[in-house]
Amino acid sequence: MRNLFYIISIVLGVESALAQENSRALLSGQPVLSQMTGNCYTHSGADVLTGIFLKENRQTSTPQPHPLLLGGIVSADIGRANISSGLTCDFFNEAKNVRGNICSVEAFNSYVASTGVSVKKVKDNINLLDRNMKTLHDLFNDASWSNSDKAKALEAAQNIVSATCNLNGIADLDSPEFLKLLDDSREIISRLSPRPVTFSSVLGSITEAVISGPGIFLSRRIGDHFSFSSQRRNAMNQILESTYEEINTACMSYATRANKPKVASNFFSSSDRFTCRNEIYKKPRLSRAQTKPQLDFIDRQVRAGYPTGIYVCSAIFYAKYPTIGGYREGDGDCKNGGGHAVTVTGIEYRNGKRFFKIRNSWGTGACRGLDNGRRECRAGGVSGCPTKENSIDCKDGVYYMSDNFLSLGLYGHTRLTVPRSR
Amino acid sequence: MKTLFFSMIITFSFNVFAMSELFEFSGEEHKLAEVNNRLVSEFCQKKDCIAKSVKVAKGKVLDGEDPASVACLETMGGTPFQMHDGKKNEESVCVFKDGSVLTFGSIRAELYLK
Repeated sequence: MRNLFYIISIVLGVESALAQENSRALLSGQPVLSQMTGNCYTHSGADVLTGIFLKENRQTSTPQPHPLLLGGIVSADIGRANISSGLTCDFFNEAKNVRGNICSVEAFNSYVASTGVSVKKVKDNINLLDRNMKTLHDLFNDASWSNSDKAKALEAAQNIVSATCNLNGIADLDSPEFLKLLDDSREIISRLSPRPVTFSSVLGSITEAVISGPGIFLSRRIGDHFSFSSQRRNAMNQILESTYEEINTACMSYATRANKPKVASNFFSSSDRFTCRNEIYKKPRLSRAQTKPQLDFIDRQVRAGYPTGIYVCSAIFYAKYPTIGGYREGDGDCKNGGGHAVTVTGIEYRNGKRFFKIRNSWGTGACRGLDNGRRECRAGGVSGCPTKENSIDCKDGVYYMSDNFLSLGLYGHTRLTVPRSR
Repeated sequence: MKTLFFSMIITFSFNVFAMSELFEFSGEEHKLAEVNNRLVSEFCQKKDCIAKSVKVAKGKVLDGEDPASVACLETMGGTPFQMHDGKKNEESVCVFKDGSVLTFGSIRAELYLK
């Protein structure tokens, strides 16, 4: 019995030592997250913010702001379309200016569960708001609307009203200001909804044309989009912002009542002196040798203690192909799945090869995709298929990629800069 | 030596079966099992369920959305739902109208295959 005790102690000791070793990687104290209906760059940006906070405050873990709430509030602050590029720095540079409290990941998940409304419902509807806001933003940029544009605007406004109604069970969204803004959505619906052609509607149009004059009448009809473009754009932003802020307020109040972890008050200000730049080099397509300086930079930045956002072709996480042609078009664009923002949090050597530890936002079960992809590559009888030893590995949702393999899909990274002191 | 062997089996088995269950944030536990090379609700082992037979097809992914989430919503008729592994690590699942769930990891595993 004593022997068994000693042996278990030794085994646990070895596991603990291994865990200690792993804990030296950045953000290793943070839980693995799953973006679900959120966006990858808000997760990557939140991770870079978290890394800076941990380094500046010499901590190993901290409650992170929920990337969905943070992403929503930041997007609404600056106009949804501005960060739709999906690049980490575009998000980071706006998010670091947040000064209010954002609910933590743990508090948000518990809060939503406590309301009896599923996280799915919250995220679906926030996502619905987000997508349709973007549709309207894009439409507002056009000088004139075709019938198809009007149909899109109508659908977007309807979705916004529907989503905000659904979210009303989670947060109090019936302030007078909010209701007024919601009315604007309804006005879009009212203006653009197809009307049945009846005798009275034709008579109404003729009367309007006679009273206002045919020129003004026609310009009103054709120029519907002009009459609300700038005002409604701002109004839509405020609807989105109000929604996120109300949910965040309710979540914060729950966190206090239920004694859930809160994001540190200096979380965002820790990043004040940093500016993030997106280094994009997807065009022209780079050879593996040409990516070495980029990989070395990422290595240095991570070793200095700062997680580094990278942009990759998402297909590399499936490792189905042995060569760059499986992941990139001739002009550098991504094939088989588009781009994805993730974060490098560590460097380690395996049999003399450098591997980048990559924190993804696809949850703990993400590694199954990699297993299947590698298997399919081998089944195809192709030579040089990616392997765990030479190319890519995955454990509990965290990936490890060698220099050569990461080069196949890498098209950019974040560069943190600090202004020189005079 | 035999004791060492068995104790190591016991210790490492916790890692091997780490994904056999997920939890809702309200605390409810969901047992999972591997069926048709997918990680689905355990009850799918004994009876038909949507999660084990639904076709996985790509949806239109915008702005860095999770391809598994888009597929769940747009092409598979399910709804995404967030769970965790008991250690605060998140894992999302696609929930179908019969109550069966399919993990996002399983969806992704099929998304970019033939």
